[in-house]
Amino acid sequence: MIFETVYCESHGNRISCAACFDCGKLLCVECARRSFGRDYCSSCEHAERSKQRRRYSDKLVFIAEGRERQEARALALRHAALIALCLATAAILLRLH
Amino acid sequence: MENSFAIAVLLIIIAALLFVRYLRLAGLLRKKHAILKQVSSGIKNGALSEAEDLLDGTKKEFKNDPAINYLYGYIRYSQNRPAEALALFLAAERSRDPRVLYSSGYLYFHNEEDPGESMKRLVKASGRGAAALRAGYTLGLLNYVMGNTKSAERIILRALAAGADNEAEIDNALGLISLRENDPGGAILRFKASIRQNDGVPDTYLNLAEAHAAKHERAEELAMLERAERLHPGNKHIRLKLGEILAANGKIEEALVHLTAAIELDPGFSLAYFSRAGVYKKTREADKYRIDYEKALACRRRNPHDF
Repeated sequence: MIFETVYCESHGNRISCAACFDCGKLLCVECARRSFGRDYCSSCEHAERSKQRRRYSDKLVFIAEGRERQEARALALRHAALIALCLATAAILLRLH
Repeated sequence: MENSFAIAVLLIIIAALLFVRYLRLAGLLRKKHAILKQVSSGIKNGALSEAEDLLDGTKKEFKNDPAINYLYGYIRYSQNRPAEALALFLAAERSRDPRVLYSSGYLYFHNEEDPGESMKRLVKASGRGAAALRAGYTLGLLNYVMGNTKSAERIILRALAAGADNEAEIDNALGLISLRENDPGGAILRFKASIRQNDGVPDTYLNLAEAHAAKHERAEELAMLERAERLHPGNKHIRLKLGEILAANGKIEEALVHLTAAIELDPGFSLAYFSRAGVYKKTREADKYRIDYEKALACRRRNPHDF
């Protein structure tokens, strides 16, 4: 009896690999949601997340400093490289001439 | 020979044109950065509509610019439109700006509940740039939610050591991790440290009370909740918890006061109805029990995810 195969309660033909930590529903790989180190069915997982989310705070912080310096540097470097290439080639051609 | 002279002249002309182009683009870039600076200070001061007006003025000149999309995204987030904010952050991701990756990672975690997408972005953002510390903290929380408490602790401690300025939040998170690792003593120290830095967060008191309960220190648990209730009388969760503990200790009258207060604070609070129904069951008041139980079920049906 202990080794009897159990099936997912939502997908009857799939072998169950876990049971929901809260409601005990049998779950297959597709139905099991891992959260806080435990397996849950989708509705219990949602409830657990809602409960847990209240316990910590995290806000999206605005960060003013972006990639302005890198942007300006990249523009200058790109143009400097192209200009240098043109001038160097022109110098070689003039010497040949 | 003449050909090489002509090509050389042509190349010199191209170099001159490139220089002119550089001057024009550098001027545009300076203009954009000046606008970005103005918009950023507007957002920081809470003047969102003015900041948005400024951005609208740049639409033609800087269409689909990642930095502009980031600012639009943050404004949408502040206006409680997270789906639009995420779309704008995703459009800005091609710049690989760490603050953009942090913002989209944050929204994938908290709003989309997609830990995989969130993890990818937060790992990149936590490695460098101005967003690294906040991204590290959010990444730590994500690991905590995923049950990887060891990684969560390591990442959050790293952010703290690197100079993260949200120490109260960090201590609270470390307390939760200790609780999850069955170390209520360590958790109590962390929650107390968090409260010392910022006593304006009711949930830290609830966490501290839970840590005392895990240590079987019932008197301290109750004392902590009573203190929290004095500081935050309008918090329904504190009222509910107080009511439940008092009911468990047989103080029915006091319990009913708190549970009723929780319901008055939020008439759709199903958990408070369930708890008060439990108290009425104890006092054998069948009618009141039935009414509260039915209300609890109705509230749960209306809002199944409100806990």
